[in-house]
Amino acid sequence: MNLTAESLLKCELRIPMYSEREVGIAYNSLCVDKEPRPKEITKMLRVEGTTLVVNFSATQARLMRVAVGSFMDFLLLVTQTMDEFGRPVTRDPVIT
Amino acid sequence: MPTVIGFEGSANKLGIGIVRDGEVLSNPRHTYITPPGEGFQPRDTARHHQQHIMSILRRALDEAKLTPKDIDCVCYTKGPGMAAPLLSVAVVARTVAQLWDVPIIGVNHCIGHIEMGRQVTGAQNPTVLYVSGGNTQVIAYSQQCYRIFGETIDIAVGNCLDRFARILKLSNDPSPGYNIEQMAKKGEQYIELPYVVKGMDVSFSGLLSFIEDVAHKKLKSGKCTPADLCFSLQETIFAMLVEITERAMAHCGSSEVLIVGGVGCNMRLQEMMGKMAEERGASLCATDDRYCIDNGAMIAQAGLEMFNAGITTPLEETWVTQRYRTDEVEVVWRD
Repeated sequence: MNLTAESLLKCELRIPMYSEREVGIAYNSLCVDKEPRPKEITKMLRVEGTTLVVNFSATQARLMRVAVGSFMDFLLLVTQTMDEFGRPVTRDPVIT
Repeated sequence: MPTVIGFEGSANKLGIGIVRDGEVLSNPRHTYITPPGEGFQPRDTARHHQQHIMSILRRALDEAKLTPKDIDCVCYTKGPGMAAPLLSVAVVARTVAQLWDVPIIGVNHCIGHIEMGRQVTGAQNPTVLYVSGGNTQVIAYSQQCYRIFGETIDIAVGNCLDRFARILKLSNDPSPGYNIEQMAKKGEQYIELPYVVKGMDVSFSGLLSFIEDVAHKKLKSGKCTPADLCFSLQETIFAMLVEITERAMAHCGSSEVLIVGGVGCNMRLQEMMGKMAEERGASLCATDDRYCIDNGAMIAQAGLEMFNAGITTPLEETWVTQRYRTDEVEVVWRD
């Protein structure tokens, strides 16, 4: 199966975050892991400003559902962890 | 002295522990317990870890009376274990390492057991029997490597016990092995089972099939009781383990034997191993359920050794792996 084929299923998630620091942390925490079946599903992450953008391509809807679902589970873990255990460190300069 | 936090979630136990200078400051744990007759599946186990990790992390910090700024290094289990649970824990470890701006270290789960066992018991250079639901290995240290002298050629000893408990529909609370151990105390008759030692290795899958068959036939006809089966199973498999451990000790000229891993808190196994050690003039080093069973402190303890030796894992290499052998790790922190 060719992943560049136009018959592939595509999904784009755009996750807005509060700051560049937070989106950077989320990107680093979530981009490490490869999808278990790289020939049938791929996941690409990138950062646009303070938005985390994720592009999925899959050969089957079933695989897409699992990949997007587990990505959302892990994203939730990251945001929960940031909410509960983050401490105010280098933030974007605040104009007063 | 560095303060290190360790995250463990390779199987059905979720644990986070904090250690400093050989002292365990906190070590909370939450176990995913399935109904009798059922094992734990990766997806459900991952969900369990995801649901409890925030509260366990909060407890680890609170019980140690520390705040995030006191932590010098974050360690997590890189493998071996089940992928989805490992990942759930690794994602949180990566996030806190970045939030708190400290290095992260991926730790081999088996090395965690060994280093924690050495720390708790004070064993210097023991022959190690590592027995759990996923692993069965006899290990000795030599030249920067924990070498595997013998291991299971199929399923782990704990897996054999867990699956037998499912056949008898024993409770998984607190663990199937504990309930087999309690029931075995009431056993009165020994039923002969296959004793499968092949050189330095052991095998349990054939034994499990055999006892399953016996259970269905003899229990129905009233020729034996579940307690007899628990007793016979324990006596047989523990004798196999003691035999290969003794052979490794003889080979290494070892005067200490350390038992680690979840099956290691079985008192009957400790008793049999103790007798063997006594006859050889060696000493038995064993720990209780706090450290035998998977926990976060053991990951922190092994991570602390690595951290002190200057090892850290670049963030982009903090993946997890289902297979990660004990002898793949270069043990640079030992002489």
